[in-house]
Amino acid sequence: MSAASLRGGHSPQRRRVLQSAGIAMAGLGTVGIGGRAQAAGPANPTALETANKALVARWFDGFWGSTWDPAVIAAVAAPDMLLQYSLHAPRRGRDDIRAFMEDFRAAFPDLAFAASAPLLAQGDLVVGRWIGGGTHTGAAFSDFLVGSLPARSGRTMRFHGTTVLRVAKGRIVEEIGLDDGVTALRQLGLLRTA
Amino acid sequence: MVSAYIGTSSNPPRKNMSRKEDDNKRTVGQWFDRFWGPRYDPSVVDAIAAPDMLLHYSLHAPRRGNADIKAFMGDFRRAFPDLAFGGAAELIAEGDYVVGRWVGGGTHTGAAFDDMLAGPLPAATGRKMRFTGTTVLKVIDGRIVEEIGLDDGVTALAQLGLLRMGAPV
Repeated sequence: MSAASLRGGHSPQRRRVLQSAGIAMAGLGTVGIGGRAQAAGPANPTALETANKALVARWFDGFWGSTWDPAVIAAVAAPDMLLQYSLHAPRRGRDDIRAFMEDFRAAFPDLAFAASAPLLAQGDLVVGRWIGGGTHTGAAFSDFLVGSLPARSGRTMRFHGTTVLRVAKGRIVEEIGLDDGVTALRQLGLLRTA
Repeated sequence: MVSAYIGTSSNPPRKNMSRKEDDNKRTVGQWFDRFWGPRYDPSVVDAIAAPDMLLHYSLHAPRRGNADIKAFMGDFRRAFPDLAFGGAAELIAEGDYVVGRWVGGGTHTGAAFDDMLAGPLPAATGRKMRFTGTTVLKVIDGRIVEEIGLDDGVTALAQLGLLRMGAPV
């Protein structure tokens, strides 16, 4: 989910802004363009929101996308970042968040989520709507709150969700999402209707 | 040309946009209050919903148009007379979109209810649901044209006894 996936619904001018923000971010390392925009203060809220969107797009791409890039955690996540989705127990901090995704991908090697609509931003908040999933061809998985999967169940999940992320000083400090858990857990055989 | 000139000079794009987003938040605030709040006011549908508004939540089949949306809420409240949802965090707005995070529920003391996609409830089960959700609404010219929400359906349906652990038998 790079800047390219943000294009839908934006004017050509806005696309260029988003693209250039994304490209600028890649070279900024730990400081981050979000931190610089925030230092400019509320006089220029649109620049901050654009930078925050680019940061979240980079996160969705490297963390949730089809190609997992563990380095995105040090680059984009705040040290004490909170990651909380309705299907899973909350995780806190870079090590915990990395362990979460390593386990998830060890169980679902083809795991991939991507944007289903343009990101929305106001102030320090960014909202992403997404769709994706994967096939459970890997390790046993016990991270779903409702129950465990033995290794290689072969089941495929594909579901959507909405996530609200909070950005401070160019880092993601909070990611709180709602999964369409009924769909996912039924597909995995962990829930059935009564 | 004169009106274009006046429009451009008196409404710089960014000020105009933020005023629109504030207006959209007010519209959604009213909608959440009078449609989803503890006291349902059916006239809010005529006042705020666009004639062909789409209402779509993950627990329910999609509804379209004022009559269909009123029927949805009428049935929901007949089954759950104390139904009430409220904001759980500040609204987020950009352009035509407003995002609301909410929490609420109700107790099934009323009529039988078959509007949950997961299955029907016989009358007055006495079961109580309380769950969270996130909704994205689209507002055009002060009317809500689209409300697409994600419920924490696992929580709600488990509370209502409509979900069971494990695979189908």
